[in-house]
Parts: sequence; structure tokens; C-alpha cells
Amino acid sequence: MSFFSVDSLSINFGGIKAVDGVTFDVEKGEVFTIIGPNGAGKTTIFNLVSRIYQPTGGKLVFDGTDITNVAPHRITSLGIARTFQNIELFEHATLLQNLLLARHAHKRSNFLSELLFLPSVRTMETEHREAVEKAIDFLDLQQYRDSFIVNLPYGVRKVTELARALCTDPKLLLLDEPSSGLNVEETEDMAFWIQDIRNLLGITVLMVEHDMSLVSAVSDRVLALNYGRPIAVGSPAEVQAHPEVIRAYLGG
Amino acid sequence: MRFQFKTSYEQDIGLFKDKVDATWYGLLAAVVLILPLMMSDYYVGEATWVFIYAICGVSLMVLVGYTGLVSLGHAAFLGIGAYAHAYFLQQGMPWVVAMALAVAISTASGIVVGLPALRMTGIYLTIATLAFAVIIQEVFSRWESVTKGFAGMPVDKPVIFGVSFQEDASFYYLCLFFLVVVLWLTRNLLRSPTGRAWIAIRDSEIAAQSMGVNLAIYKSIAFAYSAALMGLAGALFAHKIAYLAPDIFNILLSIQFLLLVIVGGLGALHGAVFGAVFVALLPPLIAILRDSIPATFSDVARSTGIGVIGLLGDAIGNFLKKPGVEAGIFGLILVLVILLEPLGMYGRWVKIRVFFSTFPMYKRATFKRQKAYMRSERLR
Repeated sequence: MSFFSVDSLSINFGGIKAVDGVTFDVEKGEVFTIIGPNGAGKTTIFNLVSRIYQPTGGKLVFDGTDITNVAPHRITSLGIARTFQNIELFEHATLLQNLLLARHAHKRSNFLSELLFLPSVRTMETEHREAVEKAIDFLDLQQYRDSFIVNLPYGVRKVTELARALCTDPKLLLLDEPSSGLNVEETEDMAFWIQDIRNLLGITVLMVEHDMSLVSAVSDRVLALNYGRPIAVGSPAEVQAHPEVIRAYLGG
Repeated sequence: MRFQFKTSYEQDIGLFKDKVDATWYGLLAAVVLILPLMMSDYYVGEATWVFIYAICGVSLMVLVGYTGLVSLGHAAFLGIGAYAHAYFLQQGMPWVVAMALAVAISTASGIVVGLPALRMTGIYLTIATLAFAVIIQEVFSRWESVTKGFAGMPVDKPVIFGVSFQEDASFYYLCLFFLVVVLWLTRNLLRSPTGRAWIAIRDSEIAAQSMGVNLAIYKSIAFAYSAALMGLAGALFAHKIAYLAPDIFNILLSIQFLLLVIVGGLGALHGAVFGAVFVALLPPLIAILRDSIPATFSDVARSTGIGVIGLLGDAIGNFLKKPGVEAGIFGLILVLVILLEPLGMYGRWVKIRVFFSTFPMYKRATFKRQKAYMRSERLR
């Protein structure tokens, strides 16, 4: 039984089959990348996994649990965290508040204890803060801790999203185009971080990415999609050389 | 130039940022406590209005400023609290019980309105709350066995555990007490997971959900909590106004509350208090100007011998006497605030504070508004 398996997953939007019978397995501790031309259904797969969309067919099994019908807000507590392609941070809150929110699934307080801010809440908040500070240290975000997200540059926001996902203590991390909009240096940092997340934190990574140099640098296996269907799966080099993939990108 | 020297995580979750901060709030508390001893009863009464409006402001701030759900029906919750409190007092219940029941009923109605709100967003939710307010106002005028309809319902000054709050000053302290409690409770929520979940819902529902926030539950909590505070404010409001009639709780009052939080500054508890000062004190200020401007101007005219000044003063005085001027001035200020200072009085306050704390290094560009093309700025 693999760590995370997607079995003939499909979703239709009206007559459009955005994802059409996609099957793949992600092993524990690997970096698995999904590539494909625009509109291939990569982000849709992410939205299906994070339960924002309800699949019309197929099955999602994570760590032995069937998550096909789990409510979207329950996904985090099972150990799946994600980032968004077009940054979805809480912009009128500080970076610290953004990261603390990611601890929401780990809260042990109820409304009344929070209303009175009982000592138990205070202790819990300090513990969450310690967890958040680890992510801040890991991704070098110290100087932005108290800045509002609106005032931060794009590159920092991108890293903040990664930090927020890490703060949920995930077992599986979904990264939706981690390098989009980043310059070469920032992409390089991102590649190192993705490796560190896998090697040092032991988190399995499932990622969607266009930048092939980043994909080749960090991925163990790559899945290529076109029009919602898988066309090739294997090592980065194998997939890049696959004739179907070349046809999907270049036509012909 | 002053900077905050943080040495422990506790400092970020404390009520006050540091000793200097706490000292300022202590000073403010002292001023507010001795104020009734130095003012006439009229001004004590006006200051009491500020406290009641501030509780309303906190209520709406939680919903509009923090959770991002705009309500145009909050006068209804105020009315429910006021009528429930007055009714139970009339039935001979102790003050505290009547108050608790008023808050409970208001909370329950908040949940009832909140449930459909879970499926609606933006302007549709606003219209639904508006409809609710209209229905409730109709209920107030028709349900005569409880509300006495348009005949009105007198409300005596509170007597709590045998202590009478007949005096203006004692009622001032009662309202102040409740405002402080409300601010403290709300601040507690805002520094714990619930408050962060509200902010998350306001800024990005999809991300909030992906981080484990149950949207339905936290929106309901926001509605219920907001309605509870409004019910509390309603009970105090009933005593303050002394005579309840259905047409008090009209749409204009709801709009005034919305104005309060926008002028005060969305997304900050300070804003609720600043806005309350503005909304509660503008009408008496206009009244004072109406009486004093013609007199002062004619004095100036007499001493300088320029008759035009006297005529100008009379003209301004006459203009201020016209009906609807108050609403016009409110509207004008709202437009100016939105154009010039979208963050309201609190935003201005932050700028002034930053000016002094960074003096002489203050740069105007720090707060320069710039065109931004990222997602949320486009939507806001």
C-alpha cells in the first residue's frame, strides 16, 4: 500500500473532462511532480485532493484512509497541507498571524476558554508560537515576522505560503507552482528548501511545476498530464524524453 | 525614536505591548474615571452614549471589520436586546436575569440570521440582514402584547442588587464597566484561534478552509457573538433612552452603526471606540455650533464693524437649523473619510503615533497608497 494513492480520479465541469481517470501513487519521502501544458488539469487535481472540488469518479487514499469524502477543513488535521498558485495569504494580517492560523487544526481550546483567555489558552498559544518560530527559522523569515502581508514583496509572500503550509505539521505537502513569479535566485532557494523539507523534515512532497530545471533538480518521479489524462510517468529525464510529452508541449 | 524591545513570546499575546503602552491606557482609564466629577450632567449623558455606541461598534467590528460579513440589520439586534430587557424587567425579573435573557435572545436571533448567511456572500448577505431588520421592526410595532407597539414602552433606570443607578454619573460608570468588559472579551477572542479564524475568513475563505477552519462554524460564531454584544448594548440603550418605540430601531440606525465602524477604522477595536466618539458626539456638536456660531459672528461683526460677518453667521446658523442637515453632514464626512483615509480615524491615529515614535525620521511615503494589482487589492 503506497503512502498516497490516486485511483482513476475524474471530474467533469459540464461537458469538459478536466481530470479524466488519473491514477498515480506517491511513496513516502519522495518528491513527486506533476507537469503538463496549461489547462492540463494539474491544479484541478490539487483542488480535488484538498477537497475543494468533489470528484465525479475515482478514489483518494492517504496513509490508509479514504479521503474521497472528507470535508475540506478536515484535510489539514489528517496531515495534508497545500500552497496556492496565486498566493492566498491573509493579506491584512501579519506574517506571524498567518502562520499561527496554520496551527488551527492543532488547537485544543474551546470558545469559552478563549473568551476568558484562560491560562490553558495562554500556554497553548506559546506552544503554537514555538512551532511557528521553527518554520520562520527554517525559511529565514525572521525580519518579516511583524509585517503585514500587503507590504511584503511577491517573493517573500511565496515563501510565507510555504511556511504557512509547514506550520500545519503536514505529512504530505502539496506545492502548486512554488517557483512561479520568482527570479532565478529565489527559484534556487526554493529548490534547496524543497530538498530540505524532504530530507530534514521527512515530508513527502507532491508538486505542480513548470520550471523544468527545478523539476529535474528536486523530483524523484514526474507525471506528465495532457487534457486531464496521464501521458507519461517516470524519472524527470525519462519523462522529458518521452515522445508523447514532447508532442503535448510542442504540437505536431 | 522609540522601538519595542521584545524578549519573550508572552509580549505578543499580552493585553498591552509594553510598560509604556500600559501606562497610556492607565492614564486614559484615570481620565475616564474622574470625568463625571468634572462635567455637567448633560455631558456625562453624552459620554454615556459614547460607551453604548462603542459596544455597538465592537459588535459590528467583529462582523464587518474582522469576519468581513457586512450587516445592515444590526439595529434589529439592538432592538431585540432593548425590548427583551424592558419586557423581562416589566415582568418583575431581577435586572441581571433580564439582561442575561436579553443577551441570550439576541444571540439566538443572531444564530438564526447567521445560518442562511453561511450560504450567502457579499451584497446578498447585506440585503438579507436588511430584510431581517425590516421584518423585526414590523414585529416591534405589531406585537403589542409584548412591545406595546407605537404606544411605547417606558424603561426605568436600572436597579441592580438593590443599588439604584438613578444618577447620570452612576449609569455612566455602569456603561463604562460593560464597555471595558466587552473590549476585554473581544480582545481575548482576537488573540486566540477564533479571532485568527475570523480574520482568515475575511481575507481568503479558500485558504482558511485549507488550513482547517470550519467556515460554517466560525461564521456562525461571529454572527452569534456580534448579536450578543448588540443585545447587551440594547439593554443599556433601553435604560438610556428611557422610552422604547419601534421607529427608533430603523434602517437609519443600522446605517449609522456601519458608518461608525467605517469612520472609526475597519479591522481595529480602537476604530470602534473612535467611531463611537464621532457618531455620539457629532449631533451635540452640531447643536452647539448652531447656537454659538451666529452669536460669535455677530460679536465679531460688532467689534470690527464689518456687518457681512454677522450676516454670514446668521446664514450658517439658519443652515444648521434646517432639517436633515445632520444626515447630510454625516454623509459628507463618510465620503471624505472613504476618499482621504480609508482606514478611518484609527488609520490616522496610527500615522500620528508612527510620526512621534520615529521622530525625526518620519517619511510620508511609509503610508503612501500605491496601485497594486494583486488579488485582494483588486477586490477591496
